Formats: sequence, C-alpha cells, structure tokens
Amino acid sequence: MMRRVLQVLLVTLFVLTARSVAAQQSASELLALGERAYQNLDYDQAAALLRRGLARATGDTFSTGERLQALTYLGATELFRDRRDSALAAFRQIAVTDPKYRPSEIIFPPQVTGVFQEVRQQTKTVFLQVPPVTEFRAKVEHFTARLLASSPHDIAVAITLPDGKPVREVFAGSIAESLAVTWDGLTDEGEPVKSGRYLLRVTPRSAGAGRLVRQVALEIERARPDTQPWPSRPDGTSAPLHAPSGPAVRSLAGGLAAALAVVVLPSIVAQDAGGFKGRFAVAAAIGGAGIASFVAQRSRPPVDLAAGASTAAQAYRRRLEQVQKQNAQARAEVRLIVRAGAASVVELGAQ
Amino acid sequence: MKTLVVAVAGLTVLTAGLAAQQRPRGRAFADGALVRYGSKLGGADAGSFGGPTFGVQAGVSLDKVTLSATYLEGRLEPRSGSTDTVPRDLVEARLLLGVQPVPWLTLGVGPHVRAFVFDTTTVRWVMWQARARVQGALPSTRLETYVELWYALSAKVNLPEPIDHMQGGEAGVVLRPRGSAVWFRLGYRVDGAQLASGGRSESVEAVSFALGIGGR
Repeated sequence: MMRRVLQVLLVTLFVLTARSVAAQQSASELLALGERAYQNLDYDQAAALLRRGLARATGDTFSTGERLQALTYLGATELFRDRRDSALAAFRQIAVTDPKYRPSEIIFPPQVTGVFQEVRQQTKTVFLQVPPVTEFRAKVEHFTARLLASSPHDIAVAITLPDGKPVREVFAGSIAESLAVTWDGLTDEGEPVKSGRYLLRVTPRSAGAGRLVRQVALEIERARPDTQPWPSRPDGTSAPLHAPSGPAVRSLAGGLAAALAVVVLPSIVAQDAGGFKGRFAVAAAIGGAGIASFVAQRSRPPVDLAAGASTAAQAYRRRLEQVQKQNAQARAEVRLIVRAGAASVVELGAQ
Repeated sequence: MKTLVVAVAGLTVLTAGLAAQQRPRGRAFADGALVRYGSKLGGADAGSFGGPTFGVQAGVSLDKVTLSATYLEGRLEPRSGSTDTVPRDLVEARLLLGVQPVPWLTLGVGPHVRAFVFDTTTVRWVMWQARARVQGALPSTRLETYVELWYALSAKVNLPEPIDHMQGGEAGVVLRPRGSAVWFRLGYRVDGAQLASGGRSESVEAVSFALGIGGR
C-alpha cells in the first residue's frame, strides 16, 4: 500500500517538474526566436513570437531583467511595424517596472531609444524603497523611504489608513530622479500614530487619468517603553519613590468596611438584639483608623526619612530619582516599529 | 456526625501544621468587656441585662495552624425596665482550631460553651462553631482591622425548646506599637440565637478591650 502511494507521488512530482521545465523552455525559446526574427527584420513574426513568449513567461521562470529586455524588443518591433500605440504600451510597462532601465544603445537604434525616453518622461511614477523593519522614536527620530522617479514630476507622499484616509502628509513637491522622504511617526494632529495597518502612498500631483499611485503597506506597532527597574534599597528590598495610591485606598476601604461591619452586625446576625450603642464608638475608632491610615499614606514623604539619614540611603534616593526621571522620559517617548509589506500600484484613472 | 466531621477536619489541619516542622509561637491576652444580654419572647422583651466580663485567652500557633482556648466570666445585672430581674453569672469557654490559608483569612472550628449561672440552676449552651475571619493591616500605621463571622454547626441548650440556629460576628481594630510584643484590641461582638419554638430569641453583645502579647 505504502509503495503504491509512494509511486503515485513520485509520478506526480515528475509530471509537475516536467511541465514547469517545458513551460520555461517554451517561453525562452519563443523569446529567443522573437529576438532573432527582429534581427532578421521579420517584425510581424517577431511581434507574434515575443507576445506569445511574454504571455508564457512567469515570475518563476523569468527574471525582471529578461522580461524587460523582451518588452524592449517588443516595443522596438511594434515601432517598426508602425504600431506606435503598442510600442508605447510596451515601453510604458518597462517604465512602470523599473525607472532605471535603459535600452541598450548598441542593440537598438536611436529612434527606438528616443521613443523610449519620451515614454519614460511621460510616465509619471515613482518607486519606493523602504527598509523591511524600522524602529524609531516618534517625534525625535524618523522613518525614511527612498523614492526613485521615472521622470521629474510633482508628487505628494502621505501616510494613510488602508481606506486612503490621510493620516499625515510627509512630502509635497517635485521629485527629479530620487528623493528621500522622512516621517517622524506623528499624525497631522501631532500625536504619535496608534498601532495598526497604514499605507505609505505616493501620488502624482499632475491632473489627468492614468496616474499611477504607488503604495507600500506598513504594519506599525507601538513598542512598550524601555524602562529601568527600581534600584534596590539599602536594606535589599525595592520600593517606589512615591507611595502608590493603592495601599492608601485599601487602608481607607479596610477601615471603613470594618466600621460598617460593627454598625450593621446586629441586624445581620442577631436581628432581635437591642443594638448596643457603645458599638458606635468602636465603629468611629475603626473608621478613624482607616481615615488616618489613608491620610498618612497620601502625605507620606517621597522616601523613607529614616533611610535618608544614612549615606547609602541618600545614594539610593539619588539613584531612585535618576531612574524615575529616565523612566518618565521613556514613557513620554513612543517607540514605533514599522514593518513594510508588499508594494502595489493603483491607477487613479482606473478607479 | 457533625462532631465527627469537625474532629476529622481539625485533626487534618493540625497534622498539616505539625508536618511543617516550624517552631510553635505562643500568644495570650486578657479581655475586658461590657456585655449586653437580651432575651425576647414573641418580639417582646423578656429580659435585658448588662455588666462587665473579664476573660483570658491563650493560644499556640504552628505555621498556619492555631489552637486557642478562651475563658471569660462576669456578672450580669438586670437593666432598668427589664421584665426579668434575676441576676446571673455569665461564663463562657471556647476551644478553637484555626488555619490561615492566606494571610488575610483565618478559618476555624471548635466547641463553645456558654452558661448562665443562677443561684439554683444553670442554663448551658453547647455549640460547635465554624468561624471565618478576614483581617488586614492598614499601611503606614500600626493598626489592623478584622471582621469575623461564625455559625453554629450544631447547638444544644438545656431549655425546653431546642435551638433552631445560632450565629454571631465580631469586628474591631488592633494596635501593635512599633517594636513591642504587646498589642491592644478594641472590638465589638454580637451573637443571636433563635430557638425552635420560633417565638424566643436571645442575643449577647459586647464592646471589648483586650491587651495581649504575642500573635493576634
């Protein structure tokens, strides 16, 4: 039984591998034949072969460079077939894919490279280079994205919510070839952004349809403040500089609860009891103790004064104040961790 | 049956305490109280008495287990307007086995005997009590407050009517001066008993002041 299953698996694997290799060879051969047909000036044949090859070429079987070269041949072929629109479409695909790509001036004549330059100048798009993970302190430090433009144009760069609602405009102006934009992690209101999903969006500011918006998904997380632990007291224990309000409230609650118990106990456990009036004095004493403890807690000095008498205690106090100051500063700072996701293109005219 | 269950529970916690192999800690206190004793029959006063009582308690703690014995007595005189004018002595004795599962809670169980001693006769109440005591220190002070409730698991009295139910409670504050083994306690306790006839009830209230040494 196991042997049969193994055989079926091996056969399936073999068939899948063979199909993948065949598809790759086929696309490669088609593109090679198309390029040869172009060189033989058989443009109709070249266009047909290149289109079929590009249609079969997938990201797995072809590199971006190979694909761009095939598109260049296709653009040149269509240009020589007097199909300018098809040529422009092929060159536009190149410009959209890689702004730094230039057709070889050795292979392609000036009329091809000239048209390509025209298309590149007309294609207004930018490419985003964003570090996969950036951790920075909001307001103090920056998140940086590098933009590469297909051609000089005006752009607006913004951080937005996934639905496009703007959170912060980080740049509005012209871009020549490249530009580094920075964002301090704040919203338009000046507050650090909350954790969540955002987009870094680059929009051309020129009017008209067909504008390409580039965007990168950003997963932003607010990191917990990096605070230091309290220093150890001279007696080896650790304690906060200021008395927390919890014990004071517990003191008050404990005292008042016991006082209330004294008042209501007869009605709970002995309803026929006469109700000894003397119990109110006891209740007052207990309640007073709770209030006294509460007041003592709230007005407690910052550190144990008895401990402050010694040099060790003074050193402890200084260290405590220093740590408290640093921790307060750390809590005031918001650290953001930005994880960049996949980039995508949206055509505004198509929306 | 209830007695057996209580005895087994007591032995269990005592064994647990002994197993902890800790050094036993002792405590003792003297207690003075102003007591009010009242009896009602069909809702009407059937007697009201008052007077001071004095008592002592001694106990020993082993880890989280405490065994304590209490004794008190005093003379109760009829209060003005009391329909019953026969004075009587109040004598109480109690044995309690307690365990402290968490610092703020103590649970205990044990027998309690209360006797009203007249010239010619004695009315004796015998009960097994289950007690729960919640205590907590008040930070920045040397004070501690507590509230305690108890319920009689079983109770008998040598009166014509049997006891239907009996319960009580206590609350107070304890002061332990810094660096001292001596402590003071001001408290109020009350208990009530309903007899099975339905028409008769009895209650004992006391404001007490205790001076102790050792654990509370």
